[in-house]
Amino acid sequence: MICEKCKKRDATVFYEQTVNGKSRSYSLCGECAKEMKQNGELILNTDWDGGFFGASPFGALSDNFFSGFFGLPETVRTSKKLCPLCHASFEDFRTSGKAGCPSCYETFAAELEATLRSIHGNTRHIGKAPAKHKKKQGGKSQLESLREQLAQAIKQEDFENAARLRDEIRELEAGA
Amino acid sequence: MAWYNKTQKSNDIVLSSRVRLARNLEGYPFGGRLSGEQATEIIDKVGGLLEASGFEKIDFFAISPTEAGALYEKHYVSREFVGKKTPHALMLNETCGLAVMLCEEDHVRIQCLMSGLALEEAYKNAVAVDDRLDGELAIAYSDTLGYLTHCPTNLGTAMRASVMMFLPALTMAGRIPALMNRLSKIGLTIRGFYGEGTEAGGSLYQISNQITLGITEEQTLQKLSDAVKQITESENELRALITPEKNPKIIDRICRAEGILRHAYLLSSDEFLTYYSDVRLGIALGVLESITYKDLDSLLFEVMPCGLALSEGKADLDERERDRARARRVKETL
Ligand SMILES: [Zn+2]
Ligand SMILES: [Zn+2]
Repeated sequence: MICEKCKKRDATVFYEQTVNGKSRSYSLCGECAKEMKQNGELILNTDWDGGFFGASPFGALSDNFFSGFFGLPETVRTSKKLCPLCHASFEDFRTSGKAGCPSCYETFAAELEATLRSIHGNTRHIGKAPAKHKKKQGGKSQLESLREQLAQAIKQEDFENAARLRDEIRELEAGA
Repeated sequence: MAWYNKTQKSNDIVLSSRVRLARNLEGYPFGGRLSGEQATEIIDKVGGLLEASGFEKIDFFAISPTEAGALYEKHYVSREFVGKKTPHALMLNETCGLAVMLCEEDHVRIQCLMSGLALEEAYKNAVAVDDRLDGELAIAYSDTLGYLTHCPTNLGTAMRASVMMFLPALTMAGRIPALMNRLSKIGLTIRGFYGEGTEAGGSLYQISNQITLGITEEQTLQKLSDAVKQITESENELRALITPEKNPKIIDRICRAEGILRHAYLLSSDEFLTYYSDVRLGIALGVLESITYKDLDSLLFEVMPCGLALSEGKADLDERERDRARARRVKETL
């Protein structure tokens, strides 16, 4: 799909905005969306913004960081980001408890982090990977990802998990 | 030969092991968003690959509700799968205990069923199918979240490993709620196989992993087998305390159960489960020597409503006919 504004680049951002009860959807490329936002034509909700400006969706951007950052007028608070593949909104995800398609996870990564932590006590996969992803992951070893998890567990004072991870790391190091 | 007829040595407490892997294809939506055409496309793609690897394809639109129900009773497919309105198919390889559901909740659900305690083997068989698909298809996967699934509770390894355990002594001693509690703290769950919660019909329980993200497949299997080992020990300790001198009532119940299973003219499925449990305990305690686990356990999968109807050569049986057929079948087998 082509961006409806510049009609040149691929649309990567799908967006539905309700202003004073009237809904309008947009299919835009990243640059046009950014430009429209700067001109005030598009008012993005904060979660979406966090994912959009290139920062790692699973990085340090928390809801707290953005809440109150933009003074959003009440009328446009219902603006919402849609999944580029299946056009589900986060609201759809939240109410059904299920993703609309595989791409939903990337689209709503920031919104989902807390939920994943409460389900699994964790937000990062460390198991098997398809062959082509194994190559792509390249240098990142199991050991590194375990160390990352350990740091996270300590930060959250999840000592039971931390102890388990520490043991696993020792075991791996001893084997290497 | 059906998976449950391949006996392993340790069938005493662990009846069966199962490993399930959920996989999805990139670019296709999940669940209700998947159109009939897209579902058919997935079935053709994945089904074609598996047919070339010796799987038999069972199109669920082409079989009767009774035939579909019988596949559910043998644990090859889920209950939800049987009732789906959009195209769905089962790929079956009974020799390896492999059943792959296509277009269930996830696009592909690989399942390996083994009798007895055989988690590693079940995992190995399931992974072989996964690797076969991985070589040919773009599997939905993210470096941070692992295998992407319809429900976020399956993200990561997207693996559910489970064992079916027979725990009559722990049940009689009222220890199941405490066990439930202990297991949930380490990310495992136990639930009654028939019926809900602690009211498990037949003293049969399923123990499985709850968490799939931030844990490897090997760690999951290890954790589950450690738990199975501990539960087996507690069950055996309690069983050792049951003696004819101290527990004449239990022994009496076992002998009566054998009498009913062998001689009943009508037998409901609830009754069957109750007496099944007593007779099975009788075998374990050495009270009943003429019945084998193999015969008794095969009945568990063959006296359910749809399976009975099929073996009687009918589309459907009413309740009376069913109870009669069940009683006859049990009598013939034991
Ligand atoms: Zn544009
Ligand atoms: Zn989506």
